[in-house]
Amino acid sequence: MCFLKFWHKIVFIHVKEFKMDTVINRKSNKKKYLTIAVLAIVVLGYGAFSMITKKRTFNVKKSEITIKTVEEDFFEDFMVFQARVEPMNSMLVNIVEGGSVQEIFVSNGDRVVQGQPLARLYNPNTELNYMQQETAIIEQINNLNKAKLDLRNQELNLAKDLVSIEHDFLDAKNLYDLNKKLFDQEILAKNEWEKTQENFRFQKERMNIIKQSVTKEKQANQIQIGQLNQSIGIMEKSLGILRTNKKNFLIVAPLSGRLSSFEPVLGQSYQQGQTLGKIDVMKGYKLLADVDEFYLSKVKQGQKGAVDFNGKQVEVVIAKVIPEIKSGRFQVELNFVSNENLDLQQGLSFAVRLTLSEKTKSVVLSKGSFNQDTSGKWIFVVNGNKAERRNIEIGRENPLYFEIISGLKPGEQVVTSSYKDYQEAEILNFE
Amino acid sequence: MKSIVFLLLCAINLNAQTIKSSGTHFVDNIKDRSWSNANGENFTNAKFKSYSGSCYALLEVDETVEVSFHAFSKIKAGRLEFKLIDEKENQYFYCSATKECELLKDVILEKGKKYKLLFTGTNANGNYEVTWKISKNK
Repeated sequence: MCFLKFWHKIVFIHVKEFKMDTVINRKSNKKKYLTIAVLAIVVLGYGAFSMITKKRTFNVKKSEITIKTVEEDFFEDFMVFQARVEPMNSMLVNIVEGGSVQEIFVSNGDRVVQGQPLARLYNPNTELNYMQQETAIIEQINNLNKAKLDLRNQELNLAKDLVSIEHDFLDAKNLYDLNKKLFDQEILAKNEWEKTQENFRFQKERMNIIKQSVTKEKQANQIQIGQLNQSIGIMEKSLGILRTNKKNFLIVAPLSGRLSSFEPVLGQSYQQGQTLGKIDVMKGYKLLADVDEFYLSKVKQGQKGAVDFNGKQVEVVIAKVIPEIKSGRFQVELNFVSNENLDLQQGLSFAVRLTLSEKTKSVVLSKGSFNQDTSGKWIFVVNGNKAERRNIEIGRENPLYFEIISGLKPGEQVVTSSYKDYQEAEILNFE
Repeated sequence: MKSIVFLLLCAINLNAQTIKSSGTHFVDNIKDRSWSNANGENFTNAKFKSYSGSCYALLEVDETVEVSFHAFSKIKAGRLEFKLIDEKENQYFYCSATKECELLKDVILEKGKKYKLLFTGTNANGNYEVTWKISKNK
């Protein structure tokens, strides 16, 4: 309206100007152009404003989409995964000394008793090495024994010397006692008595010194012999270990149970530390499962689940969660809750239905592909013959439902199929 | 006497062959609250009330052998299709059940190949069981 008035005004002024009987000066077009420009800006601005504010609308066939109703229902978070039966305890049969398989005494699946030979390996280089080491140790033991013998001989010689010295001392003492009596009776000459006295003193002092020396020598020898015995003991121990290691070429069962994963081939070489098989202790079973990493934060120790065994529901509980992820999966160990003797066998596997949360009444929505395109942040809500975009908040999910935290009410209908083709749309018009 | 020994040897030899099975592997998450299944060395079975999706048991042999399969499925509602395929999707048997399906089939399983017993359900309520045993050495 304003625009029209403005236009009339311009036209009127122009008409008025024509009516006047005066000299017409050449008129500038500036005003005219300015007016047109203003008009153009107004028109374009209006167009742009309309385009921006207008909601993007897409037409879709109702038959091509899925519409579901938001419900209020019991929400229970659960998951199903596959778990295999494994013995409660098992022990690996490892290669202690590497070599090639020379003999195989048992087969995979056999029941074995502790100490029973399973296979024999052969490694000529290591065996030669063992023999050389054994010889060297025996030689060293012999040398030490010889040293011990030398010390004992030395001690014996000292003892012999001591006996001789004691004998000399006793001779000197006897002579001294006799000559003393003779000298006292003035039968023996003085110089002879002095000689006897000197000899007695010499023999006495000599004996004392030698005795001291022998005692010290004996003590030192005892220490040395002790050390030698210690060394011999260590060497004998080494020899024992070496001889035991020689027996490591014979692989024996570390405990009684059933042999599994035992697949040696004659002539095949095994390195030290490699696993040749496994002994399963046949006392109780557990379940072992590889679960998708998506559930890592949801699966906790102590959570309960159930398996169907021979048509009967058997309760199980998560005993251990091993959070190390391999090929997108982590391992979970489950135990049977009941002590009932189930006729389980290794190799069986079951679907475990694990309850992740208790039943709670919630606003729920059936799962659909829409979530992949919206990341659960918005959804198309049906309103008559169209659906409008609305922000929502999704909570927990189970294989069947999403739990709706906010944005939707029970009874409302929503589009749950894929939004891939109309992610930019604000409104969907149903055809 | 010789024939008895020969038969015994054959039996021992057959017994030595093994079929390695693993599963059940789920292609999609199981959405059926009442789903249950069990697998062993020579069988796979499942019970379900509202099963939609696919799952499979994987079979491998250490020697080429002929294997006798016995498959049975009873469906109260919906549909269950099951088939034995190899890695190249070659099909060895197939059954689509809306009520009951039972089949006996001998299939040569080749060493080095992986075979899938694939089960696809559409709102299926019922059960399935497949058992197998080695019938001949190849």
